Amino acid sequence: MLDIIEHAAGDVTVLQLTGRLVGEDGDAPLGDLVDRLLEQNRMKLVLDLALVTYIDSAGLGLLVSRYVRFRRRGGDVRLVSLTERSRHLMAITNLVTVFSTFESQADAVRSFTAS
Amino acid sequence: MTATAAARHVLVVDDDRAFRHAVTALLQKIGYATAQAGDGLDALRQLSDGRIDLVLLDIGLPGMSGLDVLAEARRVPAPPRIVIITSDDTPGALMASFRGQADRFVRKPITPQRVVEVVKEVLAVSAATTLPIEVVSATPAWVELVAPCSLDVADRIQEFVMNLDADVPEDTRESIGQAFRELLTNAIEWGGRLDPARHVRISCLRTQRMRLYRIADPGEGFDVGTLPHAAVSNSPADPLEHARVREGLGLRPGGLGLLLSRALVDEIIYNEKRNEVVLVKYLD
Repeated sequence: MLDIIEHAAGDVTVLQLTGRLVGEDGDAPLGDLVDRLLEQNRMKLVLDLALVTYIDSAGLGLLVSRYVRFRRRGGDVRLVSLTERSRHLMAITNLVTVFSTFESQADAVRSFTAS
Repeated sequence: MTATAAARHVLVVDDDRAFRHAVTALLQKIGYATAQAGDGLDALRQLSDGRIDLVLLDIGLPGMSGLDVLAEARRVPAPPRIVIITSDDTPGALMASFRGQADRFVRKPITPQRVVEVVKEVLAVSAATTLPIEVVSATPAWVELVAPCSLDVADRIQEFVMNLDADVPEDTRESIGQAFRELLTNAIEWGGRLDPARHVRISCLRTQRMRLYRIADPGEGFDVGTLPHAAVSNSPADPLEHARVREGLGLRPGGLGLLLSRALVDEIIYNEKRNEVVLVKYLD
């Protein structure tokens, strides 16, 4: 199960995720929430993964699919505080070359302002 | 109170009073209704009224053991979900729990975060849809299971199988567990078409220097050359190629399982039809 805390920093939305980011129905709330942000035209998204204890391929797939949708509409999804395990999985799948990653939420939010 | 916790009853059965109190206090704090029992007979008495949704059950109880409680609890009219939480880390206890259709097997010590996580995971699946897993062989060296093609069973099997490898370094265990789960969910979803009337057969062989897992699904197999929706088919310069294909085909997000699995274990071997797969991890 994945718990999600949402807050806004200006026009950037930050989602703090806690728990397992997995397939089945485990990632449905995140997918729904991110789709709602797209509908609201909130195109700058930061996902904080520090407290994500497990990611499977479906969870990674969800990140990828939403990244593609955001980028298509001129937005971006940026990642914060990947655990060592998450970083390893991103490297294996070559997704480290796709996502911008940051050490803190503040850095990620600031990166949107700078870009 | 969280939406998932509302009106769910959890019974904590443990002869360690401090552990019982700590776990019930933790669960009450996030909205669960809780009860406690210090021995098996008291646990069964409380289960008889059918109000308990989930039991957190120790094995080493005075008098009647937790494994006996597990067997009896399966016979009550509305059986609860059962999570074994124990410091008995012998393969015998693990496999007896699995044969008894426990929903999870968790070793002590356990963090508060893990307690909450397990409770939420298990209660997310209704008892009515819990499907039995047949245990064909349950020796520490050779575990063989036949499971219905439902994604709900994947976490359950993964947790049990990985507990068999408690002596393996954590990184290695995580890699084996993740690769195993990815291939199992592929078998269930693509081979078994998520049809619980169809079954996957899983063998786990443990030698001193190797772990070998074989998963046979009831599907027709596949042609690796026709998987543009899978990340293994991506050109090296475009890690998102498969995602766009999946979106075009209306497939759910995913397609990274095989790519991940290949990197996490030493060998992945398919049979000719590709409806059976073996994964191997060497330990030295």
